[in-house]
Amino acid sequence: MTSPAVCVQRLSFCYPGSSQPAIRDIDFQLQRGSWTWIAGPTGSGKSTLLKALVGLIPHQSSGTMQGRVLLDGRDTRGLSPRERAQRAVLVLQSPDDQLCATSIEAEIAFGLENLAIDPSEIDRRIDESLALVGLKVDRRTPPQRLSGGEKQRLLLAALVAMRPQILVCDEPLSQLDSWAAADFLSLLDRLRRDGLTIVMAEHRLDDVWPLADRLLVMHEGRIVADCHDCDNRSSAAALQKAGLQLPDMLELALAIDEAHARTCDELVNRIRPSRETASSQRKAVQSLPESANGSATKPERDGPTDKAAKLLLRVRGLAFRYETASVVRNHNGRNNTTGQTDLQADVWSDVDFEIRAGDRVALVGPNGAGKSTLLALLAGLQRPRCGTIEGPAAERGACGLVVQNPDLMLFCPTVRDELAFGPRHRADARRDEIDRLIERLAAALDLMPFLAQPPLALSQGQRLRVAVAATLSVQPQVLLLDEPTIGQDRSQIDRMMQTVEAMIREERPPCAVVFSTHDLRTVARYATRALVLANGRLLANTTPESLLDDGALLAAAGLRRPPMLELRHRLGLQATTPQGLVQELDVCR
Amino acid sequence: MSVGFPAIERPATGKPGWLHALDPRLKIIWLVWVSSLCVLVDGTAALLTVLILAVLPTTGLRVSRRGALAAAALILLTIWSTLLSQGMFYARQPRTPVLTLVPAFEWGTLKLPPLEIYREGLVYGLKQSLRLTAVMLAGLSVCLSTGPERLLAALTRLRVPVAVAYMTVAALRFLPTIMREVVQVRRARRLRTLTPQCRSTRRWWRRPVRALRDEFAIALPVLVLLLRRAETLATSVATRGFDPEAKRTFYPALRWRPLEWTLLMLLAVSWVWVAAAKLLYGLYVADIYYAPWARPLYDLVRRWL
Repeated sequence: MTSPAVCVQRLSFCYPGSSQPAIRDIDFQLQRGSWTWIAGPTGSGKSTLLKALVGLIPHQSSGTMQGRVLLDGRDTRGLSPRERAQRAVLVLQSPDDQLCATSIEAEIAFGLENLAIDPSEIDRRIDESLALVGLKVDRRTPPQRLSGGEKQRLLLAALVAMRPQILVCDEPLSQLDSWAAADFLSLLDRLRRDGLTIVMAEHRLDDVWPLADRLLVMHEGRIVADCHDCDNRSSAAALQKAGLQLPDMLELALAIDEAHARTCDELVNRIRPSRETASSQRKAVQSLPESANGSATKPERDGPTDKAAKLLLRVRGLAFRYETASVVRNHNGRNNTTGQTDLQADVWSDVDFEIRAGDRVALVGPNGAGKSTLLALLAGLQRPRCGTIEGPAAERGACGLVVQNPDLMLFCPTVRDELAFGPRHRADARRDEIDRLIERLAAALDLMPFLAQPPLALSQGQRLRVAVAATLSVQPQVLLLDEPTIGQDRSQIDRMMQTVEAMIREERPPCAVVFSTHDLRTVARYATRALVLANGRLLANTTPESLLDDGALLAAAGLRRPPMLELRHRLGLQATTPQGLVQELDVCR
Repeated sequence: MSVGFPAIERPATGKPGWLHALDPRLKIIWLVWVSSLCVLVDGTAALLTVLILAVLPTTGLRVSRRGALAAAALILLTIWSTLLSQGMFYARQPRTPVLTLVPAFEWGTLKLPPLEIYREGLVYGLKQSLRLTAVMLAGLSVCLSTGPERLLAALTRLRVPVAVAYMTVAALRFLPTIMREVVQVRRARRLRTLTPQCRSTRRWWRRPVRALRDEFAIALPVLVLLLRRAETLATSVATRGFDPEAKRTFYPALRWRPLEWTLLMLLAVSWVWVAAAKLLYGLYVADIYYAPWARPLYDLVRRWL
């Protein structure tokens, strides 16, 4: 038997100034070529453990470490940065912040230069690693020109060029769309089969769960469950032990009493025979438009809108183009992939739709389609080239926008000040009214315990909720959310969307919400309508169900069904939650 | 926000100018050469020559017309403001008034001197602005024509400690990001105050203290975001084996070409010549050493340098 790639022995670590250790009494070994998924709630010590695995703890941290971590049989305490990098490397969330060079070749060369590798060998390894990750671009291209998925691939190329034995990933998918995430995971799977040991902490449960062969569940700094080659029941029990949500597919597998099937294919094969009797129903559902070329533009795709509801916004013949290169940038602080953008062409044109009271509209489309730009126009931050935006919500400030990075919106010393910032700029603002509004919003978005805390010190999900509450504090008629699902775990997304949904239902401001997203699960669960923006125009204004069933439209929008929705589609079911699907399957049986 | 740092953010866009291709070590040495000569020489003509030598390499930058105009405007503004301020407030004697802006004023016991522009002040201001502009242009030329990784390689080869060199380079790399984030936070703040009932944020004079406080508040999220970014970058760099104490290689390897050697020699010889001439003249003026054979040199230094 070969020696383990990683051996962690009675590891504890306490950050300076903290009385409680962040991780304690951790013991495990990882075999070469294994894929370990580390799960746990926020603050359970996952990131600390990952840093210890690559030797950043104790070398880059001044806390107190007990126990030891052996990489390839050697204690990380005695390894130089170069020796550590040759054994284990770390991928973090945001590729933008991890890239430090101005060209692809320089980015890959950086680590190799640190290993003091000869320039001629560096040249060879750059080509080799680019081929390995499938990045077919000019080596001198600036990384800033790549898409998010490509940047993550570049980072991976830079790391694998150093030929490490262990790849440690701390939520590497959080900033990626569904296609980019799937590509990245399949690439990792290939590297794992070539012998790379992978350790990953990730909130996108459904994507990682089928690939992992081991599950470590952390809670309050300890490993509370360790499942090797585990079946569905033991995995579920381990996750529930730490109070974690189960992956949708795992929930579904358990509901149909399936012990081992994990992937969509396996579950479909397991379920399909028992569904034979319901074939007629399935046929009926599958006859929904799975259309061919050009069908995506058919006018019948216009989704149903409650025409009796109050009209908030009417967009007619809207077109937009950037004026100069310097403004070709998202308002959320991220660069668009505008390296190839023709500045003389419209980003999109002939955009027509209406927003009525009660609408929950999902705005979907591939990267660079202009979703953020459309939201900025609705918020009054940009001017269209032509067309009109009319209606009561077209008034200045009647649409409240939450940008993709909520941190950019938080600048007050406390959450209470943050929520009061907008209202206190009102001419007719009264202190008691503002206080009541703050209390109401804080209660609705579960922020009461944090009112006296600095917003930027809160967790990512909490910061997003503060930004949403701050936007709602000026009582906009339409709430605009730009990619609210990026970087959020599923429970945070559900919590926020359910709150907004409830506010709309109770006819409190906002009266409607428009959110841009790549997450079909959120579209399926929370949207009443979907606008598909792609190829420079509004391809469809349809129902989420129609969107989910239309493969051509999904492809045009750069979307990919998550495993559960893929299963739903292939079995011709209607529900969009695991519980709903199980009920539907029971009825069909 | 790549207007100010096109080469740092996008070095490979378009065709790089000839300055991009030069060895970064030569560019840094040239920057030091310009900076030290600005201190060594004092003659207006000599300073003008240094400025011209500092301007020449900018032709190899290939900046946009808009960028060039912005830089020209900035330089003219610098020269104008330095000239005016030194011309008006020159305090040394003798000084010769060339223009009276406000005549002397007397009202009862209150006597105010005239506000005048002095010739000596204008000359002094011109020299200072020439120094400032030359160093600024030389620094910009180096920054705009050298990618961070080549700058790091050059600084390290010039015996600058790797930790210091890397911090310098990383700061330059993230300058555009900082500027972009300031714009984003300002915009987000504006978004939060845009309501039909809100007072316009432009009417800052009604509550100037609050407006000022709100402006300062922008620093907090920018600082926090930068700290997070810096932490992530530090972690990423550390996990990729960066060790300021260890020897590292550079890709592509820096190699002096014959032309660069020639330019380097020219810079070295000219610098040594000017420094030696100034030193000899300084020794003569201070009555420490006098060499009769160096009389033409003394004359040249007195007139030009």
